[in-house]
Amino acid sequence: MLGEFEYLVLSAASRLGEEAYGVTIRQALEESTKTNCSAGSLYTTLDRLEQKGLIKTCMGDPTPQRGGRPKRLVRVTGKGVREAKAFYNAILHASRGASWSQEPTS
Amino acid sequence: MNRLGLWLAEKLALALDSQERDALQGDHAELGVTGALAVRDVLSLVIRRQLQFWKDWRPWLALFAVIIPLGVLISLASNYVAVSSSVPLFIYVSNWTPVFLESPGSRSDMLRYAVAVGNQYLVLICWSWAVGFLLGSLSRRTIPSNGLLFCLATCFVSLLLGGGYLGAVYPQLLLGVLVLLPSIWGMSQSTRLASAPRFLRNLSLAFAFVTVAVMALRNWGLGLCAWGTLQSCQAWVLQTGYASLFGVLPVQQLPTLPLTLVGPFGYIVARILWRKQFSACSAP
Repeated sequence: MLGEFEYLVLSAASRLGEEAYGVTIRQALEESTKTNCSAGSLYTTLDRLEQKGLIKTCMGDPTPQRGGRPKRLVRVTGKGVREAKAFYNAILHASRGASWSQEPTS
Repeated sequence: MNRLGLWLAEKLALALDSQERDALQGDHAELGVTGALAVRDVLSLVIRRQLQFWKDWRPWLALFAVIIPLGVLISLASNYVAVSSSVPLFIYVSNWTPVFLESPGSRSDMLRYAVAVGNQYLVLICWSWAVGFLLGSLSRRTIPSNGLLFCLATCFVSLLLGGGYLGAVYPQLLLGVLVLLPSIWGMSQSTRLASAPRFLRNLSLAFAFVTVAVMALRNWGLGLCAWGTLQSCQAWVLQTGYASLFGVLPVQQLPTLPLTLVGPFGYIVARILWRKQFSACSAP
C-alpha cells in the first residue's frame, strides 16, 4: 500500500508526464497541498518509489537555465499506475459515507 | 549573506551523491532560490540521507568502536598535552626576555622544550589523522554524521576536563588544530581512496589501524586517570592498580613518533602504488 505522500508524488509525476522532474513535481505538490515541500522529503520519496519499482528516474541533459546541471526526470511505471489506482480506489471506498465525502449521484 | 548561504549550501551538498547533488543544485539554479532556502533544502536532504544510512551496521560499529572510545581517549591525550606543555609555555610567555636566547644554557633548555612539545604535537596530529582515516574507511557514506559525532565527543570531553595553566582557550585550540582538523583531513583522504583497488584500500586501512590500536594501547592509562579523577578516587593509585593487573607500565603517555607515522605512511604508499598502477594501465 502506498503512503499518502508517495501517492501525491505519483499523481504529480503522472500528470506532468515528460515534464516531471524535481522542480515541476515540487511545484505541483505545493500547489495541490498548499504546504511547503522540502527537497529532502521529495528526493527520498522518489528513491523509495524507484526501489519499489513504481517509477523510473534518469538524468536528463544539462541546460544553461540550470547552471549546466541535468534534471532528474521521473516516469511512472505500469506498476506505479496500478498501485496509485488501487490507493485512489481504497481512499474513495474508505471515504464513502463520511460527512465530508459527497455521495455519487445516481 | 546570500552568497554565503549559497556557498554553504554548495559545501553541504558535497555530502550527497554526485547525481543527486547535480539534480538538486540544478533545481536551485532554475528556481533562483536564496542562500538561506538553499541551505535549508540541502540540509533537509543531507539529514534524511544520513539517517537512512544508519540502518546499516557499519555506522554503529564506527560509533561504538571508534567514535566513543577513541574520541574520549584522544581528547584526554590532547588535554594531557595541553596541560603538560602549558607550564613551560606559560613561564616563557609571561617572563619573556632576550636573555633566554642569549644564554647558551637557557637556549638549549628552550630547544629541548620545543622539540619535546613539537614531538607531542606531531604525534597527536598523526594519531588523529589515523583515527579520521579509520572512521572514514569503516563507513564512508556516514562521514558527515560520524565526523560531527566525533567532534562533539571530543569537544564534550575537553570542555569537561577544563584547561591547564593557560586557561580554557589553549586546550580547545590544541584540540581544534591537533585533533579535529587532522581527523577531518583523514576522513576526507579515506574518500579519495574509495575507488582504489581493494588491496590498496585494505593496505592503508591496516596501517591506520596499527597506529590507532598501538596508540590506544599505549595511552589507555590516560582514560583510567580521568576515570579516577571523575570518581574522586586517587587517580594514581587506581591507574597503577589496574595497569599492574594487566601487566603493563603504570604510566601511559603519548608514545614515540615512529609508531604514529605508520598510518600516514601506509596511505602515502597506497597512493603511490595506485598512481603507478593507473599510469601503467593508461599507458599505450
